[in-house]
Amino acid sequence: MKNGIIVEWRKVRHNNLLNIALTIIFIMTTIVVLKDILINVGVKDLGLESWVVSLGTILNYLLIPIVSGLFYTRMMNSEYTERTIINYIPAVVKRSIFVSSKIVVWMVCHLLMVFIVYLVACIGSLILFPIANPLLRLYDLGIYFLKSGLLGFLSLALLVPTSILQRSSYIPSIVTAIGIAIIGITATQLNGMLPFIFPWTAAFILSQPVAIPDALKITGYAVTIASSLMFYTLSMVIFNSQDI
Amino acid sequence: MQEEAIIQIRGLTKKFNNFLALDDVSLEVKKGRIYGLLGKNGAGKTTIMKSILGLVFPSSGEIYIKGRSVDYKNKEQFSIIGSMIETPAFYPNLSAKENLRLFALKRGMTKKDGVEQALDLVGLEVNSDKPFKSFSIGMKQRLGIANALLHEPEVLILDEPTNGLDPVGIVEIRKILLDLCKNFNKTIVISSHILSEIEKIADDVAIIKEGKVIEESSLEDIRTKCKKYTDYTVSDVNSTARLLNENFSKPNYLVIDDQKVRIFGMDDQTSMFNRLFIGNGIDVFQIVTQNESLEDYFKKTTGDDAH
Repeated sequence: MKNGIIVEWRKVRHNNLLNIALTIIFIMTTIVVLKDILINVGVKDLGLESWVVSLGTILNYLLIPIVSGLFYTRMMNSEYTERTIINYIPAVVKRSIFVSSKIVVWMVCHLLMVFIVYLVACIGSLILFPIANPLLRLYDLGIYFLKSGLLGFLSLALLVPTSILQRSSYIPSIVTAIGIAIIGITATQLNGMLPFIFPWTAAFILSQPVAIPDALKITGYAVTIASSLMFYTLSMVIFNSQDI
Repeated sequence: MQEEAIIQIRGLTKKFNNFLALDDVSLEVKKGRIYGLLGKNGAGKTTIMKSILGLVFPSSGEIYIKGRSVDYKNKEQFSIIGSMIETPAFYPNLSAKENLRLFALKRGMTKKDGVEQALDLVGLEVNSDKPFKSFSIGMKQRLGIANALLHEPEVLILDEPTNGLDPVGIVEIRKILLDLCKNFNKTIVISSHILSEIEKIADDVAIIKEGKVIEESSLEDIRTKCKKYTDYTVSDVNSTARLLNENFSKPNYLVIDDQKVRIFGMDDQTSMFNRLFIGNGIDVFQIVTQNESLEDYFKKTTGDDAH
């Protein structure tokens, strides 16, 4: 497994995909934050929490799922299109390790994307909402972005079996990534239990700094974690029996 | 003394939905020999190779590696096999060395100079920074073979390794494979649709057609089976064919083109055939007796070009 992860990481490092993804995230985040600093003068009246939530919604649950989804799609499906998968699988390598190494490296890359948003958001928040102890701000925002980053990542788990089933086609997983982002955002329009029974909306609601009844919180976490585990297991089952 | 079979396939069948890709395939690859899978594109050669490697799961049948039934979950069984299937596929932005290092790492190889040795063995420059995407076809094929050799396997499974190469490249790859077999005692399973290639390299041959093994034999035996034949260039091939059907119970002949009829065996009776044709109003322009080539034998065995 360790070797598999190192190999996947080296592959990601050697192509420009991660750099491109991080640059897109950085540019988009900077534009949004600069707009709030320079143009939207009313932002200061909203307060820090509302500003962070709106930033997190746009970037963590709309931009990052799409960019991260495209990133994973390219990571997995280039193995099919370039036929490199054929070189790996007959070797003394377990198919499940091949998939799980990719998931681990994808998670690291996803969190790196979130980290870029976090860094720019921290700088923006310190300009917009100055504070005597900046470290406290870094910590608070860090917790928020780490939680929403991890939940956002789990909500993308459906992409793993999709990318295996589609083989060299890119369209289904691109549509899935965009679909997950859109469904996640609709969580703001849903009430009661409903957003907590779907992993995509549950992940979004749970990452918001709002008070949620314990029962709904537990349901939401259980649904998000269980569904992602289910999708990962499903992808192993599909891949283990797939003719290549 | 009977040679040890390193790979055995018994009754292998593979269906892709309703398409029967392999139909009850049985074959035996002997240790230290070069085994050629010969067949047209789409005959099932690659599917046989993929089945051995666990890339494709058989619908039924058994595969044995060194006498043990293949368990696709037991990856250790496959450590004796190195392979290159379809086209040599590598990461385009990486050099030969970087690509092989990735594969070595993935396979858990710890041998320090394994990558260098493999590259050296196939004649690729070890320290070149040239990325895979700018490799020539020959270099790609060499890298594919180097990758197959990386973990020092006993068996190499190579799918059309000379595909797309120029004549010089074909000769070079052939030399590498013969060297690996002769001097490094590797068993090689090679597929090709190019008869002359198999003829020059293989010890044993399986002729595959529409997912079936039509014939499995040593090349030596096939050469013995290749009969003499006589080509008759005549004025009317249809009348000649009718005449042969009328005068012989099981005439062994082929209509080659609109002027040529090939009769197998009976090369000592050319004057009898000549008299027969001329006596029935068929002009005979030329009579040439030759030995059947492997290509002719292949065509006859697979039923292609038969009339």
